[in-house]
Amino acid sequence: MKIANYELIFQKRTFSITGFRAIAYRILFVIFGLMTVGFIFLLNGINPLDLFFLSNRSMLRIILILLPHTFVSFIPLLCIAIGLAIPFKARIDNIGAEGQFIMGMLAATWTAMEFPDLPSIVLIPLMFLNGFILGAIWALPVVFFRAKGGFQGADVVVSFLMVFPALYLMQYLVSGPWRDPATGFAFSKILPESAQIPGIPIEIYVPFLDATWNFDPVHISIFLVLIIALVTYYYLFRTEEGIPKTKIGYEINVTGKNPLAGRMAGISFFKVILISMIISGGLAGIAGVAEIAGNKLRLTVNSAGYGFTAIVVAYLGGLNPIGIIFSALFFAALISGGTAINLTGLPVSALDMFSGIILFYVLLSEFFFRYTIKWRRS
Amino acid sequence: MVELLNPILWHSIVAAATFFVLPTLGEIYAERSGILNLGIEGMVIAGAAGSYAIAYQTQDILLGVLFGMFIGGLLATIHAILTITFNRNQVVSGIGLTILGTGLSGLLGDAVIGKALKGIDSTPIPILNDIPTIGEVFFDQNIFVYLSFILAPILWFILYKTRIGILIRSVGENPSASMNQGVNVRLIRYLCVIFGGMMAGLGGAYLSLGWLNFWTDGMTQGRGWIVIALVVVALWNPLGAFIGSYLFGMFDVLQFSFQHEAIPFIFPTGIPPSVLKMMPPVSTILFLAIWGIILSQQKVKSIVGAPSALAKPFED
Repeated sequence: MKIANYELIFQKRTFSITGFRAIAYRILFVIFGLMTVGFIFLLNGINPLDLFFLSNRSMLRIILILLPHTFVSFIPLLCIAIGLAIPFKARIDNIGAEGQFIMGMLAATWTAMEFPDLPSIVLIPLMFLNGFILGAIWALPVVFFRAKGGFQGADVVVSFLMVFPALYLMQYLVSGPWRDPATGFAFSKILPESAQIPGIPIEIYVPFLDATWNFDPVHISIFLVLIIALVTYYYLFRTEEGIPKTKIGYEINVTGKNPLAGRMAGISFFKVILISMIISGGLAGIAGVAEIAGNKLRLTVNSAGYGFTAIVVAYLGGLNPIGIIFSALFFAALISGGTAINLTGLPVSALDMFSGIILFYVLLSEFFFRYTIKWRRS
Repeated sequence: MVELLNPILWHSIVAAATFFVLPTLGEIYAERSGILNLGIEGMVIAGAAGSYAIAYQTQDILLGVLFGMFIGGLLATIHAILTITFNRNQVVSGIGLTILGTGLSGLLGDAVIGKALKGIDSTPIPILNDIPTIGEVFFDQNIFVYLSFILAPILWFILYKTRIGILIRSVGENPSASMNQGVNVRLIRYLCVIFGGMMAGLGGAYLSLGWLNFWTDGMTQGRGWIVIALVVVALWNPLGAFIGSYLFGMFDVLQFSFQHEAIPFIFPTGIPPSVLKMMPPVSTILFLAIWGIILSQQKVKSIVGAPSALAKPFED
């Protein structure tokens, strides 16, 4: 590419960047992303330095004060993003996790209302099981379109459009059959005591913030999702010298990198899609169950949109469960910091800009793993 | 029973269909050149918010429309830089564009939520307007609608009958061969993607200024995604886009027509709106399913001419 007297050259690196340098590159590009968002805020007459760090109502301060809330959003983000990383790795673009998440919430509510007399130790696992099943069912159309569809993008569109039936089904149930007559709003009944996942009863007073961290809202599903992260890492993502250790992990990797070679080697494309989509939908469903039984305790007409943020979380985490733990923490913190944006008078949806721009920069950073840029006078 | 032959109903179907026509035409050009842009939803919603905000502040509708197109083109440029210059995954970049556009729309439209603005009037076309029923349905609309009538055949002509059209299609079909012929593949792709973005922004401006005449957060309700399905339904043909858009416009309007129609046993008091709202997405999925079965047969695919290089990375 030529600009005036100078020429821009992309030069392929002899060795692509991996390991800690790759992480450093990602962090650098996230900082570029935050600077870009800051610039957009500046154009809107808001000082980004005040908004991010300096003022008394800065995002940083609010994130620290609301630390327990950060963990509350961390739970669904981590669970969905790990589920998404599996199909993404196989180049299956499941962007409908939001719908699968909602179906998980519906499954949890239905199970809890149907069997309120079961003891917790039976009921809660049953809710998780049903959430997994319903979430996985909601992901199945993507398998069909990916395997059968003769054109690019159909699977993406279908996975996204499946969000709407789920959302409207929830709206219908909440405003009709499942509505709690005791409130004037479109809410379902609060889940029975036996279906509620308990929180962590810890309170810490933090002197430098002059605030108390109350970890009671953080439900113990956090341990479940961390275990899920480690288990998926062990069985699907663990590598030795860059090659996945397990058979299925290897098959997923090959399907993503070179489907033709995979087919030649006898890897069933359909099997890989089916397995990765079932796990992906199921994990989103589990996140929905945890959210409803641990945090919200009743259905409402809308959902928090974790399914979309989780896409960015998965990519920022490098499609690897360990990286995703950190990127989920980062985005959970951004969500609690969103309160600060609200205090400046801007709508909370401005928070989406962070996700969008950071996703662009993460994509761009991957380019520099394999290429360098040089300017040359021509 | 719903009066299905009511001209007023058809008038609103034309209005709804026009929204689909404009971005679909743009996306067809982008995809024909080989770039899949899944960020339509983001460009449309940012265009809708931006155009309404500017039109409200300057009280100049035309300026608002131009700004909407500018925002759409600007967002598309980001996608073009990432996918064409830096060769990144087109799907992921498109998703990023949708998320960014949604966020940007919140920022742009924040000051004008719920503010009333007189949108674009309908301008009846003299003689044609007098044709009974048809005149009322098609020729008593606003300028955007007429624009969609004109643009669809023009863009069809350019794509199939001119040199530029051949270049665009060849770039989307086989970029390396085109480059060997001395075609500037990147330039053509850039122009097509930016054109697509401007059309999406125009669609957004129509949504907030020409059709619904208000702005509220999330007002597209996922219609931008239906556009991507429409391109497939239209078989990447501008005239097909026109027909497909009217089909989806019909679903979009009819969803509100059955709220008081009772179905015995299932919905004795009328079909709830949340169930009717499922109609556009569910019908799109069914469409794609049927189309997917037909299109997966290689022979039919070669007839309809889906661009072969669509969403494939191209490095020279």
